[in-house]
Amino acid sequence: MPYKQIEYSQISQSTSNESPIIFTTELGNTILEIQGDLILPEFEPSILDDDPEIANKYLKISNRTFIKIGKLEIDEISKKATLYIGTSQRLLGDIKSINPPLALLKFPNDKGETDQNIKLIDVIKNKIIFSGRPLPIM
Amino acid sequence: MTLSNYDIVADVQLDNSYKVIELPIEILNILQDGKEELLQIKSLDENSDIVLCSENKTYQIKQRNHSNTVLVMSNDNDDVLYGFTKLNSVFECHEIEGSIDINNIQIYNGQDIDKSQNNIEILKLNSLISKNQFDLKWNELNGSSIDEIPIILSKNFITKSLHILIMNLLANNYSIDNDKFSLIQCFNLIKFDLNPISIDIVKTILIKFSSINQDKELIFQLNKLKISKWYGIISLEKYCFNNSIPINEFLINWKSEFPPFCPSLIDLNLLKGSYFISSRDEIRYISSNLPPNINDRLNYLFNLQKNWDLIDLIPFIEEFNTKNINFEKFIVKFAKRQKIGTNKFIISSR
Repeated sequence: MPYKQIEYSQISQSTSNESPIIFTTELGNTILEIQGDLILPEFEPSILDDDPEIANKYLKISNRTFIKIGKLEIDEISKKATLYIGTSQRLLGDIKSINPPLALLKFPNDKGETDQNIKLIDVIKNKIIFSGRPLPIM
Repeated sequence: MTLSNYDIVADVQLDNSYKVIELPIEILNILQDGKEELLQIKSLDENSDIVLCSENKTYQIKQRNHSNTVLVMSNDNDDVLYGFTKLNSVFECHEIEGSIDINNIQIYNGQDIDKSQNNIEILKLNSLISKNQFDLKWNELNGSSIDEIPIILSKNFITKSLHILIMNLLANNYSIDNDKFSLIQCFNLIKFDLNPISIDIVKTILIKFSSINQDKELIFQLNKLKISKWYGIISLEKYCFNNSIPINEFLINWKSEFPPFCPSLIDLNLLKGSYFISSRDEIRYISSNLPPNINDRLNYLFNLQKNWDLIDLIPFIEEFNTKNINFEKFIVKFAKRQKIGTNKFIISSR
């Protein structure tokens, strides 16, 4: 690498004002942290179109496939969050400020982007953190 | 209670090209103020440090791994949060001085140079240091250039150039103490006596021996203190490198190094950290190339002389006192301290 420039022109406006939105940035990004391992599938299942039960766990948007993790409930006033995973587990969490704030960087990949600059996508000042053990859903 | 509900989904093919970095306050201000400043990430090779540089500061980047699940998600004004990358680490930033790798830079002694090497702008871009810190550090290293090719001026060449510059100024009835000179004026004065010489070499010499110059017109005033210190170190290296000589003899030698009629300041305080005085009132040179570890350095110094006055010892160890602790307290962690007067301490090995 010897050196790469960081492009940041697109984010200057979004970081200049204090946003009323707590848990996402003005560009709509946020960090969700769980103290533990959340095992996600590394490949899209090949039988997605054939099995409705498996297909129900996924969401297809244009040519991308997303796995459904759960539902998030946010109370922006008390800065509390609840994450429901599947039908049997919930996690209690908080919206916390990150100090120092984090810059989200996108590095050029090896697939034809090696000449490109590093892009500073966003500055993230808050995150949703779930530090406790999962609780059952009754 | 104002509750918002979102579906959480994650891309099956997470993009691993994203990283997060802790933002130093100075970089955050650049981003928030919308300044147009060059920000860069640099490294020399796969094994070197990686640094983040603004125009004025340099930060070493270290990777802190963690075992938590950290998903970065985006929201497109709907009720779904889309996870697009999972992070296993955070980059931390630690402010450092920055460095310039001078291993392949030619030492200039007045000879013809190899012009096939990279130019100085490429050296600046490739060095692990910010743009403005580079200029200061480059000057400290006696760095200069000829036809944009970076060179390091040798001590002999600097001494010779300074000598010729002072002689020419005095011959033209200028006052070293009071007059100010432009870069081009000085270049024209010495270009025939020091051929080949570039304007950048003259600028390096002038910056090295002038008072801090913030004038964009490049007007310099020579600094008697800096000139005297230079000739003092040269004299220490020349006359007391491996042997001690009486202080008075050294002071005469120091004075004789100056060009004739050049104003001088002969004061050993200028050379603190470069010599020690034995119990027989003899002076000996101590090279700046001392052991990098404080314990090894103190051992080396105590081998030269068993007992040190704290005031004489401070210049050799002050770089280790990063928290600016009072030296009387700082030294007891490494050596024995004995108080012999109101403010006088004798330091010896444990």
